[in-house]
Amino acid sequence: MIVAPVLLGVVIGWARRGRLGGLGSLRLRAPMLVFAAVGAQLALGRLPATWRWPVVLGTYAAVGLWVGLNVRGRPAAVRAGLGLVALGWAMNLAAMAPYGGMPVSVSALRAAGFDADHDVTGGHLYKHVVADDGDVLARALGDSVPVPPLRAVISSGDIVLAAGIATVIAGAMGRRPPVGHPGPTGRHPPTSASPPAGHAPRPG
Amino acid sequence: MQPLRKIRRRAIGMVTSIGVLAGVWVAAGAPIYQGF
Repeated sequence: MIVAPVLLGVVIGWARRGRLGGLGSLRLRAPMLVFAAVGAQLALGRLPATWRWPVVLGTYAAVGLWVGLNVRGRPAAVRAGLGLVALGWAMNLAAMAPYGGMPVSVSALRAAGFDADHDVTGGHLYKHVVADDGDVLARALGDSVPVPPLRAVISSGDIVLAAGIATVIAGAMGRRPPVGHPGPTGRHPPTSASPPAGHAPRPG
Repeated sequence: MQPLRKIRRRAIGMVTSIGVLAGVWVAAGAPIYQGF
């Protein structure tokens, strides 16, 4: 589940004839903001319950700041992906803010294969609360989408966020034109018969 | 830059990018799933 959006992005990138090496030149700014947010959420279980929601809010602020710092100067596909990441982030935050945590639908939990008495407030990074299934906001933006094959319940914000991460990865991997097809410059890519650039045969 | 150093730098960049994006998913996503 953790690697699902990353794997999806890599598969889409390969399908577009992109290269995994393209991720090496993505150079995302301020990575420590994200690592610190993950670290803080992993430590939530050790904190008093009253501290958890303010810390979760702080981690969401860190991710929001990270997105803002990374938009500038990116290719269009990466920018579009970051836009989706920002939208998913905002949808999840909007779902969590009124409840002090992500509201989880009990009926969706059952549909995903969880026990009826499963405690969503313990574990799961301590950022979930039980939702009233009749609550419109919780049903629209909360964890209300069961994914039985993964035994998971996700939110609509999670879906948008995952699509954004996959788009960033696929966009960073680039896109090579098919062999024999002129590239964006109108020039044909080099074939095995033609010498690489800078290695033209000497005359005579 | 030496080719080996260039490859190493790109590999580190690739792993960092994947790690950061997986981190964004963990920190900003809020799915419930077994095993976490």
